[in-house]
Amino acid sequence: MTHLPLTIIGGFLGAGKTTLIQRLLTHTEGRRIAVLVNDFGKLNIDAKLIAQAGADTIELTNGCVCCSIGDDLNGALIQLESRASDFDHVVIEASGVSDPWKIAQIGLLNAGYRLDGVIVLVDAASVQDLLNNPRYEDTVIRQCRRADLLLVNKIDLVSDDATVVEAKVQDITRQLLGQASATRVIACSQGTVPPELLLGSWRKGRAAEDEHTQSVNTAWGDSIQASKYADKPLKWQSLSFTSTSAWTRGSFEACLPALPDGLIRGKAILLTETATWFEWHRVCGRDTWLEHHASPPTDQSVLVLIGLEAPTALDVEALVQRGWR
Amino acid sequence: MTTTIYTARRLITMNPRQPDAAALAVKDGRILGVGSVEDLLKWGPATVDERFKDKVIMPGLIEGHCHLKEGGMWSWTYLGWFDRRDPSGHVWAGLKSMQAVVERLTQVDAEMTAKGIAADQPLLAWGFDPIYFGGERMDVQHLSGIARPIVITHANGHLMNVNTTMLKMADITAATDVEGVVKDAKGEPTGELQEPTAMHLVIRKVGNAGLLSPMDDAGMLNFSAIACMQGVTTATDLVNDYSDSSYDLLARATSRDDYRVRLYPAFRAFHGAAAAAKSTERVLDLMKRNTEKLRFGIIKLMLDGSIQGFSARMRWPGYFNGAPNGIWVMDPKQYEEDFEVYHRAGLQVHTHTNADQASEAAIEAIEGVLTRSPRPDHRHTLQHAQMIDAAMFRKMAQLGLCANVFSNHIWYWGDQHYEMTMGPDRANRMNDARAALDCGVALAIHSDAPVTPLGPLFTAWCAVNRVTPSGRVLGPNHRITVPEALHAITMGAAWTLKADHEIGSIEVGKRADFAVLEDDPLAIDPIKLKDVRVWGTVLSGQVFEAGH
Repeated sequence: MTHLPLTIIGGFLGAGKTTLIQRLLTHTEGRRIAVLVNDFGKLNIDAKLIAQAGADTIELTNGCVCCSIGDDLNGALIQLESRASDFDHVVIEASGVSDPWKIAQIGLLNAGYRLDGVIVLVDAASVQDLLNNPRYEDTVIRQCRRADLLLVNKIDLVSDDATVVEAKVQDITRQLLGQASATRVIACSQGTVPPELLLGSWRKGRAAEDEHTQSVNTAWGDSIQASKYADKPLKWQSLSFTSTSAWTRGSFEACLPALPDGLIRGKAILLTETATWFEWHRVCGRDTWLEHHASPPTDQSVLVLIGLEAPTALDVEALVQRGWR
Repeated sequence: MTTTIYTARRLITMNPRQPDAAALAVKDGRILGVGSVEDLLKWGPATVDERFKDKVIMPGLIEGHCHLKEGGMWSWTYLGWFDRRDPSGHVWAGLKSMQAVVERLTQVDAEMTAKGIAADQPLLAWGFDPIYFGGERMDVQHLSGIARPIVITHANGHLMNVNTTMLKMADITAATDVEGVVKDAKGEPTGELQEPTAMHLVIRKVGNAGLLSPMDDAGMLNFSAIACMQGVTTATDLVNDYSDSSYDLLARATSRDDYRVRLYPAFRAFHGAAAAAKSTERVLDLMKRNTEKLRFGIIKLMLDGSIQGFSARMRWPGYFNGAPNGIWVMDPKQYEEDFEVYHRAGLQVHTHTNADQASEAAIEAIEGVLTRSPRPDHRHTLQHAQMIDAAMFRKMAQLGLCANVFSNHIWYWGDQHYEMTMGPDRANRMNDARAALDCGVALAIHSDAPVTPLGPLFTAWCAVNRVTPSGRVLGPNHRITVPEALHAITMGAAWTLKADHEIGSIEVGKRADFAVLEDDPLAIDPIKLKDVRVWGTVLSGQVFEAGH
């Protein structure tokens, strides 16, 4: 059974969900994304990108599709499931007041989808007004509580001074998530976060190309530079390893403590002695395992790690000691 | 066309300038005159029809907040705690214990088998409400005697119980790691599924069941039959998608001469529906196809959830049992934006607000819209309006807002509100029809059928007596009088539908829509108002005997 990766994007009206989705649709680097949105009218897609526009669906020339959820999200997902091979990723835009974690449950049903991540945006300049309003306070906290990734967006509206921004982001994070939270936080403006961090490394077979070596990428540099918080451009890094060992779920789990804390995403394809193989995903500290019996996509086991600074903090020796070879 | 003069034991006109009369005359489906037979005959030749001479005639009753699903539930087995009458007039006894629920399911299973229905065909049931069973919850053990797959939807629509067979069919096991799949101490699923995601696993296999199932022609006719039994000649369908198929279904039913009720479907404009501007076009377009029996044009928005489900938005001090605050179905800011689009297009908006924070947000948003864009006689209406207090009602009066209050809640969940959701003092002022009237707010009262059964006289009884199943009187100072309650289920509801010039009272020129009663609601002891027997209805002059 295929499991389409499913990402939920949540956040209040004005937090920047639509802008983020537009970015994902126009910076796909080959990903074919199906996006389910509440309000079609809000999306502003370049006419040159539109292959076909219907009442409830817009097909883009880059293989992406944008569908209106209408009244029935479950129904829309069942429909998409029947076209699963047309897409690499499904993104759902949660309504401004809904709890994205509730929608995310669909991805945990083991019925056509795999929950990839819950991404929640907040407007750095105005989220504290929501927190001070008894009508909204609990709703915004509920949204963020189970987020894998919290994007503190619109920091360009806060200040030009990086110290002020830093303090504000910390303040917001503490108010929204409390002290001990598994949620990762990234500050940004215009939703300019590399798609690799949001949706993962995706290119089929790509991990197999990067044998045993570390590759440090700074893709999306241009867009990051454009933000006023750009004294510290958002550099993301990915690190990949291959392995010829025959794995069990247990032997891989023994390696996990060696992974660095700041990791945003991890993915592994693990071949075993038999025809069975495993898929492991870590998104901001939440692990998902899938077991497959069909032929694996690679002929070696692969581990890919993505993060901001974290992958280079990886103690490769420790990983090897714990069994990665 | 001929003129027919009907005499009655009593004629309740709901016209305060002419509260009663000996007779009325009907011509071309409309009321030609109200007065003595002698006066009415001055119009010319007429048939004097005395079939109602021992009965009471009042304006056809108007249900301002119900759903056609009231007629669409009867293909499935009813499991509710309260007695309920089906479209054939048969009263299904309320089930007062888990054992009684299991017995009915066992019996229906045997009947299905006897009819040759294959053992893998699911038994679908609705209306189950274990809130009355003192904390006892259903699990697969209760249903272990039945091999056929069973799907039970709860009265609130948010929960489901299934048996082991259905769990297997839906592939729900101890390994299903989803919130909403309730597990026992050993980690095994109990068969209780909460909220859409968990229920999705079952719906994928059996299709939409119960409240979620699409309306069909048979259901439309059932609704007409139930309406007639309850003296209802006009009803809303307060959430309708206005799709082509829904239009066809409504048009097909209401174009029948024997369709017994006028329908006012409201456009579902919340919860991810298309953008307001585009929706407005659709609504205006369908309004061009309005007929005498089918009226499009009301916009339905929805701000919060339900009080008994703890999903309604409460102001301080919140839920009595400490439950966290409920959910916004729509962001109040988005609500205001969308509201303004519909308002500027000249449409009327009915807003679901159950608890007081939602009502407050709605009132505030509408005040903003009206300040920017004043419009006379908008009659925007707050629906349910269960926790609105006097201050909010005063504000509503100033803004010209109407209230359609959920009076049936006082009976159906009054004890739960007293003990769990609101606590004594706030439960005592829930669904405050008294305050609405005292503050000058136009008032209707409703059943929200099928959430509670359709029956405006029962709803009136709730507002007049405010008694609960345990015998409490919830806030005696919040009761309204019988005449006030009768107004709320006729002229009051007509006002909220902008139809008070056509229906709601017996006056010359209005539609000949009547409820024909065996008993006189103004003479009967108010505590017996719910027992007033309905003979049938007259719709546009056409006589319909209930159950025939």
